[in-house]
Amino acid sequence: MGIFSSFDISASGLTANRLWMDVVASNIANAQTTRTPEGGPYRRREVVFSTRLEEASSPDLKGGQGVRVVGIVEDESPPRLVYEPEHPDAREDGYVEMPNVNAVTEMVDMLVASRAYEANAAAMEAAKGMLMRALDIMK
Amino acid sequence: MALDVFGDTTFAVLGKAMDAYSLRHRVSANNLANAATPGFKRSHVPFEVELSDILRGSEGGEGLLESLDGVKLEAQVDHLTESREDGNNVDMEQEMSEMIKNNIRYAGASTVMKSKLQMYRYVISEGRR
Repeated sequence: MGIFSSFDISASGLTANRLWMDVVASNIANAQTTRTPEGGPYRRREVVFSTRLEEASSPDLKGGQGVRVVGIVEDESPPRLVYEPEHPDAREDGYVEMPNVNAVTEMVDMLVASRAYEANAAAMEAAKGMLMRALDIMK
Repeated sequence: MALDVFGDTTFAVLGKAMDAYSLRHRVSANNLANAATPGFKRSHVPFEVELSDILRGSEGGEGLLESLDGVKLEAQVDHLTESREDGNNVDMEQEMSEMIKNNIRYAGASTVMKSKLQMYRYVISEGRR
């Protein structure tokens, strides 16, 4: 594990959380979308994080693991039913299948993603400070 | 031509490294500027392996300056990194991290160079400050 690997680890966290934020934004934007290319209402999406082994580190080292998004999966919970017979996408019984997006959940996810992004940026800043401090010894 | 001060190869090696770092910074800036350009592929400047081979090959400094001149510093297009849907493979955060690492390496090289110069200055002034 090189002295610079903490930067790559923090960078992987930043990338992953930015992608999560994209997914949350998509969920919020499509909270009322009843039509999708696949048919049916929009389904809420979630990101799946997995640890990522740094190329330079050996598997027996506990440190040196970054994170990466291995997939974006759809939330399989049933759509929200709203009674609105005059809606063009209403079913025979007058109910419209709305996306299974909960605005409160999305807001919480958004907060977590943005704080996690900040935390990774702070970790990167701290690593930078440490190395710069090491250079000061030579001055 | 590599810099030769009193037969000291430190300046030549550090100078080469600093040249590479400044090129690398420009390449990183270009990558960041094109973070949203469809089809753009990021570039990088690999030179460390070649430099360390040369340093290991010339233990006593024999022929070091000549081989240093042979180290070509150029940006290479990175086709290996996975691309996004728009064909672009720049990861903004990864690029930032490269930039910070590069900054620190540059600061390290310039600090070593400065302290080396201070040693010469100390000797030239016969130990007086």
